[in-house]
Amino acid sequence: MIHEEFVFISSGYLPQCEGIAPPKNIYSHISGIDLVLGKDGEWYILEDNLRIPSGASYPMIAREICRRVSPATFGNNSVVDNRNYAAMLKETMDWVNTGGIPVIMTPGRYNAAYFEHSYLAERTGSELATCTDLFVEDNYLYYRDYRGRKQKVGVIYRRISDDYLDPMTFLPESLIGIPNIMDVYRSGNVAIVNAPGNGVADDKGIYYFVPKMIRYYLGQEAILKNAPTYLPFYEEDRKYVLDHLEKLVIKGVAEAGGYGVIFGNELSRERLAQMKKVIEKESRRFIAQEVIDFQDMEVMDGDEKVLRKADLRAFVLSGEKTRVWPGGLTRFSRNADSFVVNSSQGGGFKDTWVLSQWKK
Amino acid sequence: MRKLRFEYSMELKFSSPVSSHYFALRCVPGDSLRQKIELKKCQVTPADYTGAAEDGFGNLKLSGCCRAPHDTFSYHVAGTAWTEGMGVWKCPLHPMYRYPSAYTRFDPEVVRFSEAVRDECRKESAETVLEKAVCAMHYLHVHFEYMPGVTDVSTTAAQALAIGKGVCQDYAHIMIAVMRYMKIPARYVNGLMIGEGATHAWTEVYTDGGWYGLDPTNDLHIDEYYISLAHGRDYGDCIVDRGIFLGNASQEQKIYVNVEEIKDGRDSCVNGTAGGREADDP
Repeated sequence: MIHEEFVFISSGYLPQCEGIAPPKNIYSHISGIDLVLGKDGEWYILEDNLRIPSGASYPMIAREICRRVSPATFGNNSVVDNRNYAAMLKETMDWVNTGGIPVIMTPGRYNAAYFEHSYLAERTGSELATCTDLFVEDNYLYYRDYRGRKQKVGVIYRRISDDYLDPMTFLPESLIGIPNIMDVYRSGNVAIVNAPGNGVADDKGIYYFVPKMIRYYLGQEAILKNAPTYLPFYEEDRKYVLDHLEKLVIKGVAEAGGYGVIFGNELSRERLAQMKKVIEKESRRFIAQEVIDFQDMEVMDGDEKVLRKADLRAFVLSGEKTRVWPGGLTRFSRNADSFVVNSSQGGGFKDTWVLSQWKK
Repeated sequence: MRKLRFEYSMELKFSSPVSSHYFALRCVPGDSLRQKIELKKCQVTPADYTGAAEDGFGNLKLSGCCRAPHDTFSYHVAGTAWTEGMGVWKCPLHPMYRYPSAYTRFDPEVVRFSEAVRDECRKESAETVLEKAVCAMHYLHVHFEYMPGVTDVSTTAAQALAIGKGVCQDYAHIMIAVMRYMKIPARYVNGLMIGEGATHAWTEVYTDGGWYGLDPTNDLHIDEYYISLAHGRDYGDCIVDRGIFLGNASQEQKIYVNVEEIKDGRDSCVNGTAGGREADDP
């Protein structure tokens, strides 16, 4: 169903993770699903983020502030309470815990998402740790507290990427990882949230196959649609992509954070011809999608109300059950003509309300 | 089947003491269809603890740590191996061995060399996987020069081809890249070879439902005189000795490998380089 090559030459494929069964067989504890609302009123899945999707703390904070400033807003609009994210996260972490304390691991205070790491640690009652607080001994992972006592770690929600997680297994130059943690993990002596190696599943090339997977494994049609996607790897698709490049959006399969996204209509004729050559030569490296005409959203730009492109990141937590957090992170682009909403590229964010009743 | 006595030791000297030294070693041969191992000695010093685990490729890995300051680090492995001769060692194929890896990408040099090998195969009318692999090995052995010091552990197959010279690691990488380019699954093997010297590296190709070993450095088929340590897609997957430590020190490494045959179970032994073989620097 999935062409083998898409799995094994994906940059997210980590053979070092072969043969590991994660605790309770859960790989994607926290999934961040990016959705857009089309002008046709249909929701589309833009991408799945199954590695370390970030951003849940921002709507939490926005809501906290808004509640304080205008408590009546929530009752008047029948907004579903979403203050349980930390509890949901805690339950998810507890479910896979192998017997030890919960830890949220951060690369450190200079990381752009450090606020989120510390906030989630505080709210879930987890220890906030950097690599210097954590160490492996006799095939267990330990946390050393401020008094120098060591405590066994049962679950680690790590906010560093796979490559940097274990310098003895992945990038040797990583100074923010924990040497030999992968051995502990392989032995089932600690749960890692999310599972290392997930990159192969949220690879943009694999995205193409998700509706097919749902059909094959669940015998159902996907409730949410994918954006119409083409894989130049297949000859039929390649022909379409090369013929219609000027109206498509091209994405590098290994890129994230809004990088490696090219809009065909923005390319000069020479660049277009160049791009076609690259696609022909390295067809495996790209996917092409129809540009979805998504609905603009009203945002405040200073004192002015303006329309901007936006998307919604829904957080899906998988522990004993899989649950969708009734809220999410709405991201919008700051520039009028930009489609890129990623916070790492200057996008803004809003809280997201889920209404318990539909009032007209 | 033959009986080999093997000994493999490594000593690392640091110019000033280092601490928090973590290591992962694939220096212990494991049992497989082609070899049975009886360990007599397996010692890592200094170490607060060592643990044995399997890695993602099915290799035996010793990992551990020495936190206190130390200026030497060493391991010593010795034992007896019962080895089988040439053959195909049945094993299901993992698809990862079909595709280019970091050291074996299909860069222009690799493509060019592979096309030349393909022509050679046609000329020699090599048809089966094994015939093609052997043809590639002969071709590589003739067209690539053995020379230590011109490549290092980070050299890829394409880079080595551009230089035209290298050591066993480079021979193995080129052979793997060529094989995969020709749609023949191949993998990298680290190990020991009869005689005195250092660790060695070679290639295994997948044919008839199993792995068959070829040593392009020496233009030889893998037989009873080889002991495997670890395998992977390329060198990066199965590094024999990997470590990190805190400290500002230069290091000096000494490696000693000796493999000799034990005849008839008696104490008389044939030492050294059977058939003029020599182990090479990896």
